[in-house]
Amino acid sequence: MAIIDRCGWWIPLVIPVLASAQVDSIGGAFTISDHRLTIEATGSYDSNVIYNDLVMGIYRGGALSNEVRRRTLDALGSRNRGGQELGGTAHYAWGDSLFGRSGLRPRFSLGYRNFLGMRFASDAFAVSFFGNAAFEGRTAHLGPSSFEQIDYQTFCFGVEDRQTGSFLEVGVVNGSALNTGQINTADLYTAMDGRYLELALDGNYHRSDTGKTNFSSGIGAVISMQWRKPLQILQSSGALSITVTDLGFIAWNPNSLSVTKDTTIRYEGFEVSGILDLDALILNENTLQDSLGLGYSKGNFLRMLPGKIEAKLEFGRLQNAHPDFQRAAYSVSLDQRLLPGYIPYARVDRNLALSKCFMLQVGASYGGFGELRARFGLEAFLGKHVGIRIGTPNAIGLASDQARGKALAANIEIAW
Amino acid sequence: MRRPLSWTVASSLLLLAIVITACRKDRAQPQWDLDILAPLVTTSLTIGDLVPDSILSTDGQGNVSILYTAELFSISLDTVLTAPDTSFRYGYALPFPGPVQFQPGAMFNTNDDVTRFDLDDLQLTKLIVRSGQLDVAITSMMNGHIIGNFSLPGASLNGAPFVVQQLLPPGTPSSPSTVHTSRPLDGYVFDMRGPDHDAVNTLATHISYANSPEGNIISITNQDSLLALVSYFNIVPQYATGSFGTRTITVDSATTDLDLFRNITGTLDLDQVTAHLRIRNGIGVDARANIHYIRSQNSSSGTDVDLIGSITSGPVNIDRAIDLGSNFQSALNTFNLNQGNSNIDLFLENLPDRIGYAMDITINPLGNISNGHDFLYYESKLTAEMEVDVPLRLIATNLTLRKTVTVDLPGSADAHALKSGLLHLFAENGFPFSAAIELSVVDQNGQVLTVLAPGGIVSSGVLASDGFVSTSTASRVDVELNAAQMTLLQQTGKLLITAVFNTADQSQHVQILDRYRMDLQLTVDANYTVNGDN
Repeated sequence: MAIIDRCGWWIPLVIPVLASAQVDSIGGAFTISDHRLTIEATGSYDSNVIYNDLVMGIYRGGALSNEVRRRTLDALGSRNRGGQELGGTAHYAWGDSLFGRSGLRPRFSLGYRNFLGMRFASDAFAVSFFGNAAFEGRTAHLGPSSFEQIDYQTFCFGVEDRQTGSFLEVGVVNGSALNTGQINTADLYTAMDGRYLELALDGNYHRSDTGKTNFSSGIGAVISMQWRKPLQILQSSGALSITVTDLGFIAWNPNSLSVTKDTTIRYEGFEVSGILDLDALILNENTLQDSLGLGYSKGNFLRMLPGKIEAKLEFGRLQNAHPDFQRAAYSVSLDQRLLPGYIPYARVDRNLALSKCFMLQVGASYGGFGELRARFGLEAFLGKHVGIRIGTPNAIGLASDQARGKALAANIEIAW
Repeated sequence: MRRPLSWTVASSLLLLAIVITACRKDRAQPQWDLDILAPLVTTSLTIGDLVPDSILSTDGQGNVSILYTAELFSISLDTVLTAPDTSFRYGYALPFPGPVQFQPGAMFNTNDDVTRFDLDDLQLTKLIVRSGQLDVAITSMMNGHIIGNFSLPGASLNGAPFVVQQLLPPGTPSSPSTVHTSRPLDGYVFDMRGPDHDAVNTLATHISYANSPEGNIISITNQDSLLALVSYFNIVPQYATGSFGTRTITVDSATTDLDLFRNITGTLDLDQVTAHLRIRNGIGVDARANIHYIRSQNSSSGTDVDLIGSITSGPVNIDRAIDLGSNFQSALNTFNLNQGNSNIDLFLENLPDRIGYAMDITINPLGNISNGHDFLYYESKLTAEMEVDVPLRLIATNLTLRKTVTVDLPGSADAHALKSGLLHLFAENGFPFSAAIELSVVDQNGQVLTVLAPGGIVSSGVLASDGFVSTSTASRVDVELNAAQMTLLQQTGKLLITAVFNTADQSQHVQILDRYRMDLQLTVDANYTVNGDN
């Protein structure tokens, strides 16, 4: 974010940082109690190419060694992806009927989301972390690249099927910040001795109101829903669910900035009136943008939220005695989120009760912003009412700077 | 024992808050270095960029000349005429013991007098006041209301004479009453010939006293007096005429700055130079100037060259201005200097940054030949200026231009993003001279701290047989700025650029044309640290 603020909209496309991982809620409970409060918090990043030592170096600050940057550079290929997710959600459902219909009950949720997703070309990373001098006399292909960074909050009300867990929520969404860009082509040619730079650029960029320091830069609407069907699979209980999360939009306010370019820019330096007129060398972002013809236009625009659709199958013997916290022995899911760099994310989990109070979850996943990942989680049940789970969708990455991605998820579920 | 549900919820929320808060801790920004290769600046130099357009002239063939004017000195009104602040007293008392009674409205004293101003050698017959003030203070010891009347019959504003009337309250010898009145004199015309129009520096005055018509009968003795104090303050003439006398004004040794050759050193050989000393006289007096010297001073080399010519070897007569009634026409006296009648070429080739001079100016050296019609206006000045006309046909040998520029780099000496770099200067030179470029980091006093190597020479354009440039020449000059030098530059922020020019042909004068140009581009191959200036 700070880099975006300082350098302009195109820089994030050539400075791919941070990655993301996926964190799934445990869910899956067949609802028995009259009240259920669930609080989830996730923090994760993942990438299929960026090593943790680079990401953590950026996160911690200070000098990033050549070795650290080089390791990631050497790992880059043709499909480089990364992203992050920070956020939390609180759900509350209560009662045993709604509008006289037993089995339905009201549901309320509050959510905070901060997403970053990106895909980027290898040359974009090389130019961003090593400069363009190595491209003297040749072209750096900075595209295709795209990124989206968004920060928003949701406030939803809805209805829930008490027996199956199916629900429908509608609500409003408050947009705090957005930076998003799409570069189809960005070919940067560096002439010998730096005599000129030539950039063939085809792309667009949108940014939310930069002047606002208060809470809202845009308002929108959001729908989340889940269809969940109990099944009998292999002579045991199971369920099939399809969940859509954050299907909606934000109308960013009229002070938002946009630029769309399909052009070739040749830059030979700033034209000054005299070689001794070095005052003209005092540059700033606006001067540079104006010189390159990359000035923003101001106006409102509509943008879809990074919604997610997920299909999940749970099956196998139930793994907990208490009805509110029963887990199927196995679950298989596949999801897709509307973010650059995110590919279909498939996962397989095995829930294993260690005792009446503890349950272990192990599994594997592939996709999202990363690749093949080992999953690990531990859930504790405090009496009949409280379940607490902490886990990671990237068990190796959490422990190693030589791996890719780190993620943590916490979940508290209270039923009474 | 079962824990209450509320405790579980509260502790869970607290844990969540701690985790989120911990993630928001302020951290240092990441830093990494980039090797940047990019163009920085492009520019085109013409002769107009080396010499200000305002002093350049071009003839029909594109030959460029410098036409430069430097003002040497200026003598203004206050050098010739100064009206000092002056006060006059007018007293009245009975010439006998009295008492004498006066009826209401009875006038008991009138006095017509003159005021003579001390103006040294000047003998003014007329003075128009641009600004000034007259104060009248009358002190009364008489036991009734007195009307005092002070007027200047010889002073008028739009035809109306100057009059001040005061009502004096009763007073006694032991406790007199005093009334003050101030009046502006702006625009008043003073007839300085006196009441009979036969004098100079003299202004007629009138003062009278009467018993107030609304008062009582008053009885006065010779102990009861009236005293008027009249004061002239801050008189600035708008116009004065008369005879200004014969006197000599000394113009002390002084210098005037000349920025034509500022920051230039080396050897300059000019093919042809002319100059004109122009003396404009806006004062209505004849004058004669004895110029002791006009001196070309080069403070860098310490070399002085005195101008040798007819104007410095004998007196110079200066005609008087013409009075147009409400304005004046200055007399322009021009004295031409060239290589035939002076050493003006050597005078300028000394590359002076100052011109020194000293002289005496005698006004009315032949006496009052104007028959008392010398004049001056507030705007009148006697000025001298030197205009030089230098065709840029020259031989430059190590002609050095130095300029210190302030470089406002982001960051500080301790933290700056630009760590080191190599500057490449690419030049397409169409001028008939080469330029050796050197960059140095200097301190606040201009002392060189480090020279940036290697530097180099921008080659001259190629001269054809006719002495004009036929083809531009491409050159490249590299200058390296290592990490230590970059830190120095960050500390001082001062960069000294030195360019040493040599004309392509050192034996023949080379003409500079207005079409000549030098295209320059500066590129940089730098090591840059992201967030390095934080």
